[in-house]
Amino acid sequence: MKFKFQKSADADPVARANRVGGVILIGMLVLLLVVLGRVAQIQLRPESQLLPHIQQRISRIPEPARRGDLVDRRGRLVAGTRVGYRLFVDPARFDEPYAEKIHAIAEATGEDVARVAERILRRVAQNEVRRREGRSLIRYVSVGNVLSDAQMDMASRLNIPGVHLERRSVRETPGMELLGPLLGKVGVDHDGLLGAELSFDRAMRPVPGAMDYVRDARGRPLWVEATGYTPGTDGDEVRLSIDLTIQRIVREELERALRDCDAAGARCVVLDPLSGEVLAMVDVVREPEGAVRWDNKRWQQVRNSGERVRWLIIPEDERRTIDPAMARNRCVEDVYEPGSTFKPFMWAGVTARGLAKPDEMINTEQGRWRTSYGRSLADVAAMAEQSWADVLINSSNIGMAKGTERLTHPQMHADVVRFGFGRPTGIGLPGEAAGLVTNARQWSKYTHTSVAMGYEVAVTPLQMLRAFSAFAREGPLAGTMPDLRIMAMPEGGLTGIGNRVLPAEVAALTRRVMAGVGERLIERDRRWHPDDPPMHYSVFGKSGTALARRPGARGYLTDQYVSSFIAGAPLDHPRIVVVVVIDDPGPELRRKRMHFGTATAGPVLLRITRRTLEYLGVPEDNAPDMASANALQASR
Amino acid sequence: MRAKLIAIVLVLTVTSVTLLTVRQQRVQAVSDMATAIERAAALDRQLWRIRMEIGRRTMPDALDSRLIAMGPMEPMRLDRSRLRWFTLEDSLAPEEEEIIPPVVLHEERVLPEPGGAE
Repeated sequence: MKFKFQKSADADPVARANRVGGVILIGMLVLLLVVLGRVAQIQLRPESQLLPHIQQRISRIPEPARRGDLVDRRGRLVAGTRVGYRLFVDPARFDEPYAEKIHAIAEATGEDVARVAERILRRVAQNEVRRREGRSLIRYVSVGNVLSDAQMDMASRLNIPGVHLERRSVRETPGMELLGPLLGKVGVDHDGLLGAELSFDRAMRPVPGAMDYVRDARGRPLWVEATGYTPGTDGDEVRLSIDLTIQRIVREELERALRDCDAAGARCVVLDPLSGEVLAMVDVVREPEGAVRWDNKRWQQVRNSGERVRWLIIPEDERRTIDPAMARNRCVEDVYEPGSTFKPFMWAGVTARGLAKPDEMINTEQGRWRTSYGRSLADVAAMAEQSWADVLINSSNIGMAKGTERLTHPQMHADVVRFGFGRPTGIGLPGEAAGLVTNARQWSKYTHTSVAMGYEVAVTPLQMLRAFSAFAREGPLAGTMPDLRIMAMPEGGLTGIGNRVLPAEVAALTRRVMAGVGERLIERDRRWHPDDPPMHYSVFGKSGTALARRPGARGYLTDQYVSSFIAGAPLDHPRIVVVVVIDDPGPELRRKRMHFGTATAGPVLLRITRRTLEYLGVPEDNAPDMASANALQASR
Repeated sequence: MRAKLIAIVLVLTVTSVTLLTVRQQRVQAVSDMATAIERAAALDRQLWRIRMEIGRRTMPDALDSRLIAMGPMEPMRLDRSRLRWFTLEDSLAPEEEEIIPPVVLHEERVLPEPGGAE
């Protein structure tokens, strides 16, 4: 049968070809199955010897997106991201002659030759050891910082094996000098760490993209799948409410104040009372000559001997010396006792309850009085009696103590809390202090009198301005406090939101009374600083001078002060409210009795107010109106 | 039979060539896209750099130092015969329309009140 089969097959060439073809086909199929099986095995369960050589077929190139910019309210860039280049060396490929190459690298990067040599050659030597030991080699040594354009030009022409340029995102902060801690800082991964960079991190954070490509065994890209590319999304631009020009005006004036007052520090915040936008926020410090750090033992000795020592009242801030962005923002983070600048709030509280009328005469006891519980009070201006309005204008401690005696303890506590003291403003800046307000249960007669004069309460300049805005807002918003913003109000954004703290008419009345303080300040400033440009805007405000607290201890220093002035302008339609705090005016001013808020912070506030309003294009109070101007024109 | 085989081979060849062409075009398109993206990214980087430079140069301090470098400046000399105030009615009279810089209005302010001696 077998023979017969072979014979018939030999006889029929077609059948033979079919049979051979079938065998080849089966063979090919088996081979294909074997190959497929092998591929599957390599993909799913490769041998251990193969594992080190197996690489992914798809590579991913991350496409970094850009962190959003920070701009000021007029769109001036204060912090932005750009791409920079940094030089790095692959020590495994860096060969002799070393000296010549290292000199070229140092020249291109602007780094010290010895430092560059030490950095690279140490790794080259380590690689020698590693090579002998069969360990993996060091392949990356960065040299210097991000290159400037000129350095980049030089570096790209080096053409040295093992020397490369890497691309890096660089966060540049042109506004750092003006904004400092307000602007803050980002980390190495461009995450916000401090200041506005942290507050608005979520908005500015980019979403990085990526490109996935299929590559060959040598790693060369073959193609990109249709869904392989995801573009990155840049972070949003954040527009701050700060105006760099106002910020600069404030900084200049505070620096002048530091010199003029020989002060240890100065703080200022400028606010738009209508929108609650912070227009400027500056904090400057210096270490006055001869001032010493607080020492309890020495304090005891000095107190007994009568020796005069100027203590440093501002806590040391080491971070400020490392990087201005890391400094404490004392406008937000540090509290102070406001002294008499607190009186308008208490005055308005008493008036709003109908417990005193502006023209009601108050017996101010010729400037010296002992309270019912035996506490001695004194006024700077000794008067037998004065109206309730004059109590505020003359800053009478006795008058305020008598006026606020008409409030119950819970009423006065409620007034203080209602104005937002004792809790953060919620502006969104990191580290904001809540301030200190004695709680209702511990509120004593002593507290009652102290708070009436702005003692026993600790506030931040920001809290003061927010509360003071209640006097500066107009129309139905008068007597309400705005929500503070460090991000600029969107075009046509809401401005009417506020918390009512006073009836509108009481807020307007308090403003009119405080105009008397403003007039007096302008008149005095004209005498004190005759060379300064005249002030053509009417101002309403209040000065304050409080004894400085002992740093790190309870109680007050005997002869060091925190002087301040808070004001709004122009009187009729306030556009800004400003607070200036001068920390520790120098001994010379104290000797001349010129350390008070009116003499130290007042002139600074006037200059800042005048320059800011001029910059904002607010017409001066005595500018001629259109009718009189046209009449003048016609008369010619 | 031969004709059928030739036809099959031809069809397979044409199909293969078409597929290869389509694939090549796809690769080319992806390559063009990648090049365009890279160019756009490079332009973006350049734009960011220029933006930073503008940011640095328009800081108030930088502008001030440039102004100082320009040397002392004098106020604009004004032709007083052209001085007048604008009102809404003025702006509605096109034949008289002219632009007066704000500095002129400022100058007017220091003039005496109506009726006063100049």
